[in-house]
Amino acid sequence: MDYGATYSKERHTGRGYFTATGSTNITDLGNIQMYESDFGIKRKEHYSARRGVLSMDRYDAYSSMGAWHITLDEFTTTTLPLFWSGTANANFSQTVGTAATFMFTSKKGSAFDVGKYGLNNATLTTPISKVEPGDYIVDRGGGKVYIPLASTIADATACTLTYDCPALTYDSVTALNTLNRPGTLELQGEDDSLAGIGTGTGAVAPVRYIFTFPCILSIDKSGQFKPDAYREAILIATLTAPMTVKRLTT
Amino acid sequence: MNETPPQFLAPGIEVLVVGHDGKAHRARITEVLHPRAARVESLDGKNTAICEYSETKETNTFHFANASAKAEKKSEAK
Repeated sequence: MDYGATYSKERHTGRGYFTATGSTNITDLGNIQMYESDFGIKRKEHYSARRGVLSMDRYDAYSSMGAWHITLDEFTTTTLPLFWSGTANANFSQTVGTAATFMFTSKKGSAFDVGKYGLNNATLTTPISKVEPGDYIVDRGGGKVYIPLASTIADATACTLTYDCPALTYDSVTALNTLNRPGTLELQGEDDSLAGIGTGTGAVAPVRYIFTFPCILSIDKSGQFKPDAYREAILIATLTAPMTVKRLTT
Repeated sequence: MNETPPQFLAPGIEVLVVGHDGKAHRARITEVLHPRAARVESLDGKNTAICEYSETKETNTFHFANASAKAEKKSEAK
């Protein structure tokens, strides 16, 4: 690609495909919002010294520590272990419940864990004649029952909550037990140039950039859970061997 | 309550839970909350409770089959 070419100025989306060492499967990293390679360059300055004045005349780079910072915002079953630096467990399953009961001994100001989620038809059936929210409050989504301070239910009263609940399946990961994940990453950069597109049915233009490198994946933070913005997490891929960079010439 | 169970509590151990009907119902420990309390689940998995051990068998407490005031001492942990 020569100077002045339209797509010599770059504006890209990206895709990432990680192959863990020893695996034949590829993990698609999902939606990439931003990706950047930090070369980790260390430099050493040199000064010439003449007539009481130091002037820097060299500032050589002598070391690199390449790392990609990849901002992802698509959280899936497959990528859950990556985002939590952990290993996948068997799914956590909840069986359906119909007129199931949960018994506890009340204490004002305390909440009790029903142990089920997504409750419905939930009412305190013992003691009778107690009302919600004055005497008890059920967090139906999170499966907790709270006894307010002003409740008419005396402390140390044996209570029973009767409820229904659906069958549910949760992905499960043990977090922070796989801090470094070696493998190979192929990062792709895509533009909207349509350069190199084939002529057949369903043709899509090839990617503009292909970065391939052995690396170790790690992640430092979960990303912020907020109601007013989409959660993003930054995956760090540190190079463990030289990276090959390919760029489409057309 | 604060009674000491005659054996260490652990998930899977079968106990008897006293319900509102005053009767003992078979259940299984699913989670130990502290040395005297556990989350228990009925054998069919439908009913659960958070309750404490009690030899006096009050409502919403659990005890062991054949438990009595003269229960054998726990064997010391190795």
